[in-house]
Amino acid sequence: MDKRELNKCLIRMQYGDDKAFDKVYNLTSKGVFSMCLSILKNYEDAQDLMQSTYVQIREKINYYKPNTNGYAWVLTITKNLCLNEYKKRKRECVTDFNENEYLTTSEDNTSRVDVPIFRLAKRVLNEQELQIVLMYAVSGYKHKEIAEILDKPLGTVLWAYNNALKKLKKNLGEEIK
Amino acid sequence: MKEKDLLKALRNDVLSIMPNCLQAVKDQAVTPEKNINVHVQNTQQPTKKARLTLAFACCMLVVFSLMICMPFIIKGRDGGNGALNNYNQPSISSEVDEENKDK
Repeated sequence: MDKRELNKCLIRMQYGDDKAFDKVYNLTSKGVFSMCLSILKNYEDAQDLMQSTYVQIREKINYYKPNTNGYAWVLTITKNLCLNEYKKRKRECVTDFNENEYLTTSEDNTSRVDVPIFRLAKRVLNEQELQIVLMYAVSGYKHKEIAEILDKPLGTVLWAYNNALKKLKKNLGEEIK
Repeated sequence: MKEKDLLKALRNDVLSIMPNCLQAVKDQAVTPEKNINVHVQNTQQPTKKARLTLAFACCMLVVFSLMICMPFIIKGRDGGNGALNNYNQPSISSEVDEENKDK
């Protein structure tokens, strides 16, 4: 992904260019969606949050500082919104008497679509591992960039990534058997 | 399964369920918020320390300019004859007049 182009598009958006928003969407949608999915682990919620993220980007576009990392800015908005939603859901789950029902319905939403590897990854990996693997596989980030975005040491990211792959391979092998 | 294939399969899985909400976002009437902080950030206002330094520098400039200019000012007031220092003494012209009277 061309970061310079994204930064230019964000600046153009500040001047009210609507076409620039299309470009921003095309450049960032994969990363935004994979981040939403990795945090919320629910397709429906990820879809809603993705929409909310882009609405927020349009609203807060004047807060983007030119000559800074636009992609990191977009992903920070995504991450904050997702974490807010996650905390909200967590609180809702505690007060909900039919907790298990909620979990099964959210599971059903994702399993409605045939995504075997992703379902496996969701089941096997923890939040951090899933986030790192998705960012690497879907968004096309390098480990160094992931470490910068998640504000974690490179070693931690590499360790989590390798751990995740091991888990995936192991569980995939067991499922095939 | 190799690492590359596994990642590719995961990528395909996620991309296959990725929604397209571009039109939905565009349909929502959103007015960008005005960033009030932008103006504060762009206009670099001097800090208190900078203001004090500037005031001190101005004072020093006035003092030094006065020190340099004072001799010239004094010289200018007595017309360059040093008259201010011996204003009680009669001038040369009056002395000449007296000499003429005696004659």
